Amino acid sequence: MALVVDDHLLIDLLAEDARGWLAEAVEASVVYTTASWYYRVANAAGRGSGSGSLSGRIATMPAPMQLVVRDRIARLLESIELIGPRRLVPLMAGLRTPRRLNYLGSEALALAVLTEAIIAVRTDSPLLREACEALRVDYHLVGAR
Amino acid sequence: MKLDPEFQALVERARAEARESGELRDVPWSASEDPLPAEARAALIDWVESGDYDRAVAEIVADDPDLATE
Repeated sequence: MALVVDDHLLIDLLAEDARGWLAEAVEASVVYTTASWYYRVANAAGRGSGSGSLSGRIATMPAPMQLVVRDRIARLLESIELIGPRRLVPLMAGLRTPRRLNYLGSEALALAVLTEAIIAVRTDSPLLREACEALRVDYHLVGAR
Repeated sequence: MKLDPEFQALVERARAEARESGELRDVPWSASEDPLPAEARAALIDWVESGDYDRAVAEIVADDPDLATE
């Protein structure tokens, strides 16, 4: 089993704060994220305002955990897999979905197709959800905190 | 998963290449394979809790006007 996690869930994993469905799925899965979602998290940690939905989560962590999370962002945990554009871009360009996806959505869907993964997100994207339905890729919305 | 044959061929090729390059894993990592050793994590936590981290940051910022926050 494989799992593609979005930016919010990536923070959960880096902070060892996966709960419920996510914790069980991670235990049984090879976990991937996309470069776009990883970039969002890294950008939020490095240059975020502290008031955004991602940077705010990092800024409100206890200082020692912030250090750990920032270290894990700078040198992404090896347990979080990435697949590069050499493999993904041809698939992104080849996706045929009901409505055209943006780069972020295309990357997530292509990665899920390649790895035969479930896409797990905390932030619902109707466009991505619709594309997953069309290609019969499992899409799981993880409950908000 | 519902894919047309042409796209399916693209996917199969990408999978084979990703597997060959080591990007595609079949087995989950265990939680014990954290690259930050427990001792390093404990040392970082001690460093922060002792106040030495904040003092070191303050010294660096005081010596470098580009890092000033006010």
